Amino acid sequence: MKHLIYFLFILSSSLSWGQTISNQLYLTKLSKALKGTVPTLAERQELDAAESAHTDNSYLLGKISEYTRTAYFQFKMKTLIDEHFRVNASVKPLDIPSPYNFNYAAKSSYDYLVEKIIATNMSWDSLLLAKSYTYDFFKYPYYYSTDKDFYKNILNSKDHWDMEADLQQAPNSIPIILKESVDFDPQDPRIAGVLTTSRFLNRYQNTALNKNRRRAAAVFRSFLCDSMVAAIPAKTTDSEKTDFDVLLPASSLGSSDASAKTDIKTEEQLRRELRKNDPHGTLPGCMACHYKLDPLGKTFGLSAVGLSDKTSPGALIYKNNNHSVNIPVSGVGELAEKIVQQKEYVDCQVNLFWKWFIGQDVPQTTVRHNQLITQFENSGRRPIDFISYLVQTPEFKIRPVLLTENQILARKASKVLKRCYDCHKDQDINLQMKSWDMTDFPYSDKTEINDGLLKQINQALDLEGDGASRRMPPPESLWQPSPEELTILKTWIANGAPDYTGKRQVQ
Amino acid sequence: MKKKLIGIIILYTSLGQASFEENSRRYMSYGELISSLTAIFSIDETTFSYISQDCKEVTANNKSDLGYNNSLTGEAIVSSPNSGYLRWISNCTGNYIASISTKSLDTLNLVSKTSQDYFKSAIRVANELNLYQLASIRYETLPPEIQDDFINHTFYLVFGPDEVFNQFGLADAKVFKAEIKAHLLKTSRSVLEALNIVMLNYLMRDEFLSY
Repeated sequence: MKHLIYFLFILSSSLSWGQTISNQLYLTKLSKALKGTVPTLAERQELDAAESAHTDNSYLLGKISEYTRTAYFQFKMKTLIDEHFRVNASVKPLDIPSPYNFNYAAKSSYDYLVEKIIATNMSWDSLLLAKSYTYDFFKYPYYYSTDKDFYKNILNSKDHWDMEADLQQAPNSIPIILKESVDFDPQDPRIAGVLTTSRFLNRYQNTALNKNRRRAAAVFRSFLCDSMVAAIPAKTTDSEKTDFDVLLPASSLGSSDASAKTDIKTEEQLRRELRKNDPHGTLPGCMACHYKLDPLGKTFGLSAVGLSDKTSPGALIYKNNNHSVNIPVSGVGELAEKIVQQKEYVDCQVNLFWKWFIGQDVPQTTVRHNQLITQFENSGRRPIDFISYLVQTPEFKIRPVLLTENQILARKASKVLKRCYDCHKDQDINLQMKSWDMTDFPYSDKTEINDGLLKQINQALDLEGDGASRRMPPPESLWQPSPEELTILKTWIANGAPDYTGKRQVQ
Repeated sequence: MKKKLIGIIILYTSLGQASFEENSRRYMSYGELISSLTAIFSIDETTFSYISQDCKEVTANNKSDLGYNNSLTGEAIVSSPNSGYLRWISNCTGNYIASISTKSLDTLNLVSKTSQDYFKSAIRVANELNLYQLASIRYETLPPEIQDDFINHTFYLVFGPDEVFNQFGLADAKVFKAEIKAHLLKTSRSVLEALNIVMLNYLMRDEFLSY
């Protein structure tokens, strides 16, 4: 009997999938999505009362406004942004009192900047364009500064910190945490929001080999949604090993083992040596990423441990769907200004908010995407305004939907194909697809075109032979598909390559 | 404890769960899970210090259990709550309940006004009655309406009204609560133990973990 009731319940649920949710579930979703906690008992009762008084809409609107101004929301957004930049996210939720002052983590200029953008609803572009920073530093019991030294090279000499003098004046037993702010000229070409913070630059360190390309890749990924897979491993699991060790174990640049020394003294010598055994950097395929990474990386050229007082020219260069961008810039400040003017930047940031508040796997039509862009622009690119809009959309208010097997398969296949597309996206390919995007299912309205494309994927990856004789990805690529990933694609194609709605692209 | 945990797992799995990748739902993040626990259990400054470190912040021990983001890849260490989360929440539910067990019933969200009145009247103790004292009361000896109130109130605290739970389409709230009650009555246990089991079963559900 119990199973019968359960079956009838599931059946009735399945018949009403996609329906708009009740006010109480909407409140739950709002609370979890914006605050990260369940609603309180009082809020549930207030909503019941508001429904009785027919004021539920204004009550829920008020909750959106209230939630987006809570410390919980700021913490949540900070976490999301940290994850987006791939810096270690905070580990302590806010609003939980900490009994020990020593638990207080000194905040860096990056932390304060991100928090300020959310707390004061500044334009999202401020992540790139901000010119003011605040940071903490300890004077006692030990000297520790997150950013004081970092900015001192470009501050006026009168602002230089005399650490010795300060430490002499510090009391002996009381921990002192100070907060300090620096404001640069709004036109300062050396400053670019989070890009010129120690946390960002330390996360994506410069080395003799990567020449700021890691930073450039982070900029492309974070702001233009152009992720790239490194063909040369940056680090091995062995933390002792450097890039040089990995690439050329006998290099005098990389190895500390005296017996392994060679005559290689410079990077150029190393590169020549590398080319003998490793074709990376000489193959056209490598240029799929390097043609854009190298010029952008140059804008970080003078930034190592501290910011340089000079700018470093470079360029913003990339191609996207036959649209080419080639903008020389005088330095990282101008680079940031140019990035926020690009269509790809707006597309990327809109999709980022969509992923965070609606769901990455909830598809957008072109029309819907354009509506979102209009809304993003109309809201002055302010995050709280745009998020408030998103959580009022029908896509947010739709009840949770169980996916079919084919819909799940499409999402899994998309993840694998994204890795292929990351390298192939800049190729000038006209395959009669509705757009050159390997994850944009269905590829075409015509079955024969889809069939041809799927055959190409099948052959390139040798899915029939479980990848044994595959042509792609090339051997020098860091990413090589796992047996599970190959099986996903094989099954996906065998099932007719269903799109996100579960509809087969081929029979 | 082991026996209890196995019983809970059986109850949990029999109700049917779906993994993250099999749904378009978004799971709460590590920070949100902890924030939600502190909200549900009404943790304040005095009780906070009694909670173990692993239950109130992300540590090296619980990172993977809570789906912490791997900053190298930009992806969560695990794609959905798994047995690691089950272990973590089992430990932390007990820890949270223990940390608030000395608080007066009046200050606890976990017990409804109806049940508070009943407990106070039954033991003839005024505001001093706390969860710790409830350890001496057996769940099966409670009047049926208080047994139900106990389950319904905590359910409401975590999920809201039945309709919220039902709209996830995974289970029916009435059937679920009936199963929980039947499970509690299978063995003699104190109200405190019952609270532990009830909360644990709620906090493992997708209807709590996702949105």
